[in-house]
Amino acid sequence: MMYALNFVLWALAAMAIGLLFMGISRKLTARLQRRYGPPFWQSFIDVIKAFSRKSISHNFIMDLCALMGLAGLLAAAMYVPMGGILPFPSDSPLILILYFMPIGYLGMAVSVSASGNPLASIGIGRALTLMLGYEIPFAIVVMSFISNYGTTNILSIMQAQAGGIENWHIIKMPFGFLASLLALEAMTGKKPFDVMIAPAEIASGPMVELSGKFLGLAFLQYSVAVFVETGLLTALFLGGGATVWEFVLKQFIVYMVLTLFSEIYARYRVEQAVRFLWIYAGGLAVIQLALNMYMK
Amino acid sequence: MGDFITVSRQEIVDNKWERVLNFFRQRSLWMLYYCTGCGAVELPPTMTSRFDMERFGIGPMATPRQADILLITGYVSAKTLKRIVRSYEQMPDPKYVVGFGSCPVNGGIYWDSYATINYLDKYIPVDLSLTGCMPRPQAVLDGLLTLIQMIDKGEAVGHKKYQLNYEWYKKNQREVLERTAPVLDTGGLK
Amino acid sequence: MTHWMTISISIALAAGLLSFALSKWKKVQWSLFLLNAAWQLFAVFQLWSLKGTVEKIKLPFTFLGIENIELTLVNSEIGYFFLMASVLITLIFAVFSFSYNDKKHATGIAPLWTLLMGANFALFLSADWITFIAAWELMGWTSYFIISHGKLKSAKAGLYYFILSLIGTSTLLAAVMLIIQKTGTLMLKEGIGILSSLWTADGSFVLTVAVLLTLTFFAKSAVFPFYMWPAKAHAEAPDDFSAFLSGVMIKYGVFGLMSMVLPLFGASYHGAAILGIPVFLFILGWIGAFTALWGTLLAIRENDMKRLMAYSTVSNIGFILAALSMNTYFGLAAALFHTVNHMVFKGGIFLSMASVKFRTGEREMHRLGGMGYRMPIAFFGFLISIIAAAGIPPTSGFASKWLVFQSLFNRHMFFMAIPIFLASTGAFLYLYRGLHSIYLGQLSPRFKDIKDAPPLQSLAMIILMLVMLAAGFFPGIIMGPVNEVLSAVSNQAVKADWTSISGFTSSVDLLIAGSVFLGAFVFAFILFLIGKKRRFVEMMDNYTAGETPEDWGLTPEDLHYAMKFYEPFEKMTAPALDKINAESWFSQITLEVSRFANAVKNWFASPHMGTLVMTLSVIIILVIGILL
Repeated sequence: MMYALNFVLWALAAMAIGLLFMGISRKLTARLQRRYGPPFWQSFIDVIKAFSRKSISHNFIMDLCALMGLAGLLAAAMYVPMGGILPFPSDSPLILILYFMPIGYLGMAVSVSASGNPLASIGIGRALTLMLGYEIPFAIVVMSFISNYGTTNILSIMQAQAGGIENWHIIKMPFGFLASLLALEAMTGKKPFDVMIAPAEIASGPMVELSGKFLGLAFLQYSVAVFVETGLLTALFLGGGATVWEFVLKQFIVYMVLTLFSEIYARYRVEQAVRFLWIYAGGLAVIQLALNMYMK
Repeated sequence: MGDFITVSRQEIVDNKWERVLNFFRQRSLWMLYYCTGCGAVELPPTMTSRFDMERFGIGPMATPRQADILLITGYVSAKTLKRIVRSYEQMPDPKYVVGFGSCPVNGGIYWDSYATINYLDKYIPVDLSLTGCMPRPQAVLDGLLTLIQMIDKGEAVGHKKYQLNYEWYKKNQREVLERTAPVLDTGGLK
Repeated sequence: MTHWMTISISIALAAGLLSFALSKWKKVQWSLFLLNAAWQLFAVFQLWSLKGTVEKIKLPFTFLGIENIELTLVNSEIGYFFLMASVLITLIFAVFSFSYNDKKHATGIAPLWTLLMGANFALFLSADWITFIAAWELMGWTSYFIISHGKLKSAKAGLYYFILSLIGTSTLLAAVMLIIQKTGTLMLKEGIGILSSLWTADGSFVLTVAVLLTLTFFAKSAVFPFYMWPAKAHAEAPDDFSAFLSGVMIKYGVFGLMSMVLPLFGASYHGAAILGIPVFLFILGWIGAFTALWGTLLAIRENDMKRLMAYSTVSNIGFILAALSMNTYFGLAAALFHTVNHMVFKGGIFLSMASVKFRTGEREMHRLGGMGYRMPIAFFGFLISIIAAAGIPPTSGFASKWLVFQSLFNRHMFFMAIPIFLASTGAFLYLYRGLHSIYLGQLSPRFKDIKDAPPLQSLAMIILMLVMLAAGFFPGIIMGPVNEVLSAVSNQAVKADWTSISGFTSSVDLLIAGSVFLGAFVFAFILFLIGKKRRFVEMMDNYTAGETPEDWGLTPEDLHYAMKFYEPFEKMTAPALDKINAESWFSQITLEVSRFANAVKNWFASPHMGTLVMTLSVIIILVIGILL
């Protein structure tokens, strides 16, 4: 019972935080373009509206796998140590996050390609190719942590950074931080890595056939993904947070940085994006790994 | 067209629960532009920094599945109508249609053309018409705000009218579409 | 004392031979095969409590100076583990095949497969070289005939497979001759044991044997540079046999490496080492990592579904090899776990594809599509299998991938882990492509009235699905037997109980992880119920920019996007893939050899050259004779 309550609280918090970030980032984008911009709770309204509309579905696979998509991300969110707390005590949250997130993406991919729209499949093909691009640098960064600490326990990595800003890994492992920031930009699908969405080219790609609550689920999935991904970076490089507020504030800063980057770049083609990520993000990550392995 | 079913206002406006949901619907309107006529050029100023329609939660969307508003700019030619109807029917309820410019209202300067239709309202239910040739961004925003008020009151019920009078609309659409059927052999294409 | 092992092998061989005689009654043949598989399972359960038993048959022959040679079978831990897994999975395949081989699809491979099961039994339990080589040869011959199964295209693939097997067999024979001569014993384990203590005395000899044995097992397991035979053989073999080929047969090499090559690098190894790993194994590990990566990249650009999954098998063998070459008990655990897991999920994938082919007769992925709507059981079988293949919880795949990575991290092989991680992420690409192109997307009107797989085929797939899910929540089902092997081989065991496994860097409780996922699914379902109603629409009612597809003469097949799915990525990797192509290397060698042979032939064909060569050789012989 306690676990169920924890679960619901954590899930709601993850979704709310993600949606809030998305809203604020829209406001920030608007201000950069000298607009007034939507209210910061706009994303909440959008999601509720999406659920309040009727929707269409093509078959049972589309329904089922849309749920699988959100479920994978929510399961990953359970292992983000907001404020140093884990609702489900585990020894290897990092690995679980890295493996739960793909199930979310896989679910969404299956769901949209069951709609039978070729544009959706093209979008998914691009998204998976891009995944190959950003997962590698990120995995190398994770390995450099394992090389240092011999553990994938995110809580002990957070504890190792306690005691002030000079202990944070952003200072100690700057190359790794840059690499994972680049990877994160691609993970969140922000420009210049938004080729899988590309509304003007492939009509928003994977989302092309999503309507009503399916779109709402996709939005929620994205919001949880934002929560998980920024949470990962915060816990690994920015010292985590002693309290929930501190943690969320750091996550917020990370997401705003990503948004700012997103506003100045144009879009890469997918193979350009993969090449960029492998060469630059991957190169930085390998440097970090080599440093960690041989210069302990 | 005598069998158009007219119903009283009480019957067709949204009920209480829908009115609660309308609170969210009116604040988040996603638009599908159907810009095969003219007038699309008025939309970028409406979106960008001068008028910024995103502050009302209105934004562009890529496909009819995602969109709430179908915005039809400029004249509707007889051939476009088929595409408009398909797009409209692909949108999930509740959905709103906005006619943009004089042409969808009464044909505008193309009123006597053989290739355009004069009254869009005969083919799909138009919730709101923005008159003018062209309506300026101020007029567009004003119209959209009116639509928001209509949704709030539960009066933007074009999709219900369409369901009620489906046969009537279909009959009108057929009349136009028959006109566009190709005369010569097209090798299977229509 | 009952001779379970000898009896089982004899029964399989006898049933196989009997089955040849019954070739008129196909169903009887398959019943015999099924019965034999069931009997083997029964025998294996009997052997459970008889670990370490030895059964001998004395033969009145002398071989290499050893008198009265004995054919020996031993119920060893590793052998029993492989035997158990292979027999269990084969019973499931047998159930599938029983239904698959109806009048239209019969291939007549039942007798051969029954014989192969006998070879399978003998191979894993053999305790001396003669039994091992006999079983190995029987396995090679029967599988060659099965792959060929009387079709021209298949015969070509079979020949290719057979020639590679021949390379393997000849190196195996050479290695065994060397070992027997050096150690003077026919017993397998003793021979390897003596050899492993010879590192200081005669290191290069041991290394030679190791290289020869490794070549044998590489050829069988399709490790680089032999990675291309599965694509031919798996693809052309009978559809139900592909599952066995990929699930079980390719593991013979892994078994051989585990029981013959790895023990050579035991405690008494004295030689160069990198980070504590013998150089030979270090190279092996890199070859494994490279194989994993190469298999993945090749699979991504494959359009034939069986070839795609064949390359996927190559990639998975790479994982196993990399874990194995870490030369730790943990690496062994990872390799064993992944072996079993690969058997199950690749079995699931191939069975699902076989039932699709059973219904449609298509193998090219772009000609299929939308099968999931008509064949839900095959779809779910495939879906769960690919989730396991991608290593995602809550399926058995997560634990096995996790173990592989743990074993690498434990040895600080981080750079070796990079290509493996790339392969593991790349697996998503080809697995999703298979799922999408076969089961999702638009349903072709040709297959509008297709029914789901027949009951027995569905049963086989459902059992495999349940195994994957059960092992996902309770990895102890597989981990228990793995630990038994480990404690027998190295006196160490991975810390694990029914639901959780502990590694070096962390431990995971898969029951909790799986329950979290199920909870998340329920939560998402509640959200789904809160939302307004959805209605189902036609598959062709799609966003097409307002156009009606029918007006343009577009059929669902045209809207099914499956050909050249990852074209940008394919373009990116094509230069490397075309450059490093073992197949073209081999054909280059063939070309050179035949050119040389032709040249020699021409010398003797033309009178001048022939005379010249003859004269020269006579002179040379004379000179040598005088000098000596």
